[in-house]
Amino acid sequence: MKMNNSRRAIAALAVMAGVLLLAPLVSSLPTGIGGSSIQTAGCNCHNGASDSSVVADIQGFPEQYNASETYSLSISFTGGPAQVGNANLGGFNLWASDGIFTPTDGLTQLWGGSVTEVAHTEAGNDYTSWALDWTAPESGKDVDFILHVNSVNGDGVQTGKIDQWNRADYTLQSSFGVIGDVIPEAPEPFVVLATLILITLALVAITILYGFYRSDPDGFSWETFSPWIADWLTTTDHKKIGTLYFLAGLFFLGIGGIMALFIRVQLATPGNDFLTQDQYNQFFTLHGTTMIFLAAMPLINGFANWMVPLQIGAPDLAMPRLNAMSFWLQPVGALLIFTGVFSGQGADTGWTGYAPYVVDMVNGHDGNTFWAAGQIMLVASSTLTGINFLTTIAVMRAEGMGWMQMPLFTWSILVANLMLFLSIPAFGVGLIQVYLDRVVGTAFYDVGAGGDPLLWSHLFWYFGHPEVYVVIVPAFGVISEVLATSSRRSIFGYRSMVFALAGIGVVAFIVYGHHMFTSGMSPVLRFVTMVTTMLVAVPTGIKIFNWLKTMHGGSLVYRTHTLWALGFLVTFTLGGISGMFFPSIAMDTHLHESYFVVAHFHYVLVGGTVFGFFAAIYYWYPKMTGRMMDERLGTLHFLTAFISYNGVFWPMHRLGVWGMARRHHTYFISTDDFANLPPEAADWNLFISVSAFLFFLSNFIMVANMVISYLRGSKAPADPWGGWSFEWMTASPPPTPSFGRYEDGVWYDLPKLRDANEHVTSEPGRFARWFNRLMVPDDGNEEVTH
Amino acid sequence: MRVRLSHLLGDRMAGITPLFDNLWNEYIIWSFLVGGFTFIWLYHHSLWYKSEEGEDWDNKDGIEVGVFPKHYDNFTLEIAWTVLPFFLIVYLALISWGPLDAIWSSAEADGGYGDECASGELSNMTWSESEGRYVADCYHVIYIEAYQWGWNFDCLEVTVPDLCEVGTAVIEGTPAASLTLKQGEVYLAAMGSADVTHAPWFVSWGVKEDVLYSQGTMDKNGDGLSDNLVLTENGEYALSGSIGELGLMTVWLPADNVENFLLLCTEYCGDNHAYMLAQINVNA
Repeated sequence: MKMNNSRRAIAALAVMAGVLLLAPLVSSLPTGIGGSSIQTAGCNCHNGASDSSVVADIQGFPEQYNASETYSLSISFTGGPAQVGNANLGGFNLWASDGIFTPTDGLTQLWGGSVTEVAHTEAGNDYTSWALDWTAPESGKDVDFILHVNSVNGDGVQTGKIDQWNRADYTLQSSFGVIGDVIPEAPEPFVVLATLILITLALVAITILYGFYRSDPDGFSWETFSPWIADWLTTTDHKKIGTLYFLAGLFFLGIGGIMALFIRVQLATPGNDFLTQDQYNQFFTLHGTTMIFLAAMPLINGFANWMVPLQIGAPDLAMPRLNAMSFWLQPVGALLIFTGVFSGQGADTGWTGYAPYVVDMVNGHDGNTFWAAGQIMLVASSTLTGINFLTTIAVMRAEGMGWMQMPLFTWSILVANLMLFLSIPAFGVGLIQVYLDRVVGTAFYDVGAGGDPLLWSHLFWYFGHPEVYVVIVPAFGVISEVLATSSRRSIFGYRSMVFALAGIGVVAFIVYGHHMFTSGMSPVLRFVTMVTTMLVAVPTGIKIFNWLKTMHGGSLVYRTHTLWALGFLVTFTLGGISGMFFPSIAMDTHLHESYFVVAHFHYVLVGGTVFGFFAAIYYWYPKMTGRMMDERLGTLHFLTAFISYNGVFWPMHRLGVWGMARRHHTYFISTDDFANLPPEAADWNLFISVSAFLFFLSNFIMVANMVISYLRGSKAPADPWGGWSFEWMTASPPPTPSFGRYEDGVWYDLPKLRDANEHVTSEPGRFARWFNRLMVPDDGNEEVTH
Repeated sequence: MRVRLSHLLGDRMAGITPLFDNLWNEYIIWSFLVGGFTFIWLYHHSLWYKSEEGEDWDNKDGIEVGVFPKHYDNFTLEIAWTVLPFFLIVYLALISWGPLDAIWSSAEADGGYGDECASGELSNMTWSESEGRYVADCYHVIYIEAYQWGWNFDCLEVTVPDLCEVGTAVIEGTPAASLTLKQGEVYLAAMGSADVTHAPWFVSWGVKEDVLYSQGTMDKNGDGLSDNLVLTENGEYALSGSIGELGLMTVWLPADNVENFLLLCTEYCGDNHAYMLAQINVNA
């Protein structure tokens, strides 16, 4: 009995196992046959093995297919038990390794959600031949077809020996060449991007390892590497964190540049299909987000971390551990932002992330959720950074350094962080609302539920416009330092420079409406915003004229940083002038969202921020590394980059006026039927694309210069350029702590600023007296400790 | 008649509309003047004050590391280049203020186009040299719906065929809507979106306006029309309420020249944003 029970159990299990094994092979008969393993297992639903009496056939194949061409196919079979008058006659499954099937009538259907597999429908079960279309792929590769046909006796019983099936295989060649030729596959843009990112990461890792090796060739082992890398990963020293920010910023500057090249390849010719619309939308979104948040801001923070404590004579920032947290939020945020890209679902809203599309769960990408989440991390990072720098500059200035004796770079970081600290939380609120809408189902921006997309516009641009000043103001500070030192003069009009910075910081908050002129703004507000936007040109003009006057009577030393500072003056002035066209609303209605805008903001952001920080690199690299950079390579970098940069962005002004819209996957040249862009717009786009590649490649000269100089550059003195601020007092590179020594809870030997202006009063002014009332009385326990 | 430097230029440089071109020309000239002044100063100083290697230099500002250098300023100059640019900006704001009436995208403001035309009435749009803008006796109201990813036009009660006609066109092999208007007429487009924010750019006229979601683009009352529209007794379509009540966006469309041009979407709205096209035809 037990044995019989065991055998019955085994038999039952075997049947169940057999059913489970067979079940995935076929499905839904006679309404169609298909399944993932049909190509290998065959159509054994009607019989165990194929039968040669059934002959399957496909007609309509060409000798060689042409890419993307559509062919009408006829599938049929002969033989087997199918006879006219049967309740059913037969069916088929046709699978292809590439291309797209299109059913042309109700007798055939796509199978399994795939365009490469097609089968009969219930109605088609009454036929022995079927017609459908097949569109050839663009790849040019050979395409395999596997056809299974059933010939049935119509009794509705699928099993048994009466119904029969067979299979036919075909291989179709393309017209590109014969079998055996190597036909290059069309590149998948995201695969190329991922490859380039991985290569860049590998190069960075190799460079770091090589730098470590060169620092101690005899000690190149895991036992020495491990504590070295652990120190870098856990450091709270402002100099090391500055270096980390700097390397991260440079890395993402390259990644953002690669994305720009993808965009330019797509736009090199009209009607190009290098990127699909979907891919293009992701590329321009990630390009903008990467450049602003992951390149420009980290580069600024890198120099701020390095130089602000040095310039004010402080041993470190006020909150070093918070500083480290601010940095490490960046790569985590970056990972989140880039999530989804390589699955084709990256964020595709533009860096401005306009609602309600940003919360569109039907047409929008899943990556928008990750984009919002990553940006929230960056908001946290920037807010903490703002607190840190404001505190540091307020309370840790050296003795003798009043507010109006700070170097202008420090002033620029102060103003930038004040703007950032006050504006970015609004962006964070908007992002949290977007995140909740997408994940929880709230309705902040769900228009169907009464949400208001304009709320996002206000929250974003309340942050977004001060943000663009946040990224340019530090560059102003750098240029002030570089031009004054290169001219061997004081900066002209120090006080008016400070007031201009402050004025820019204030006005930045009241002009954001100029991004919303076409959003249904009231007539009165439009006028007010127009005037205030134009007024920003006043403090900016003061700065430009002060920089020019600084050179007057000076003794200008031409170094690479001087060249970049002068180049900045050209490009930022051009960008500022082009920016004046937008507040004139009657012109803005044409120029808004056109390539004129793209030209303007690239002139002020690349020609302003990036060029300013190129100047900073050449100016402060000797201080940071203790090595001088090669001036010939630097000059070569400047000439190639400056010329190619103008080749990229200057023609965009014209394209915008002609009518080329931004964020468009392609553009349309006028035809006999309609007017749009003139034919020369295509030529200019090609010229821009070629220039973009040259500009991208030219920056590798700077990277090479940095690496070569680090390894072989001549040793840098403490003050190679003749600057006056405190960073030039320390060794190159500075020790840790940068100044003084800390003993028994007290700092000793901190620097004191002297002043060449004998008439300067040592009493604090009205603002300083008011500010000092906010400060906690000094009880000796407020010094920074590591 | 305002006297402007741009009058020296003669022919239009931008070629959009006279309103745009006049402002453009004026701004271009001032850009050349300001830019030229700045760049000449820059090039002069960067060459004139160049030092040679090893040359002695006068440390007039007391540059010394660890010492805040002597102030280098000139109150008169600083005031000059604060005040003079301010005057220029006031001037540019004034000349930009004048045409604002023409591009207030609302019939409630004084658009300078009179009231809505009666049936069969024409706009008789003309260029006013004194005002620097187009003016008209009246305007026609049309309706535009935006959706992912196309445009629907409706001539509403503008039923005279040569004043307004809706059709289809094929743009680069893709079917799209077309809107045919009459030269010399002014139209007020009342617009709503069925989904996300879009923005039609009438390229040849240099105008664009955001189109926000309008609940009335749905058909909740089951009459086969968007709720923004009703069928009138004359068999025409009309707006079911005032533009303000329906929450529609508006933009002025002055059909000044005989031409056919593209309408583009200029507020990013998803995958097919670049292909959200229509053709605008202006007939004589």
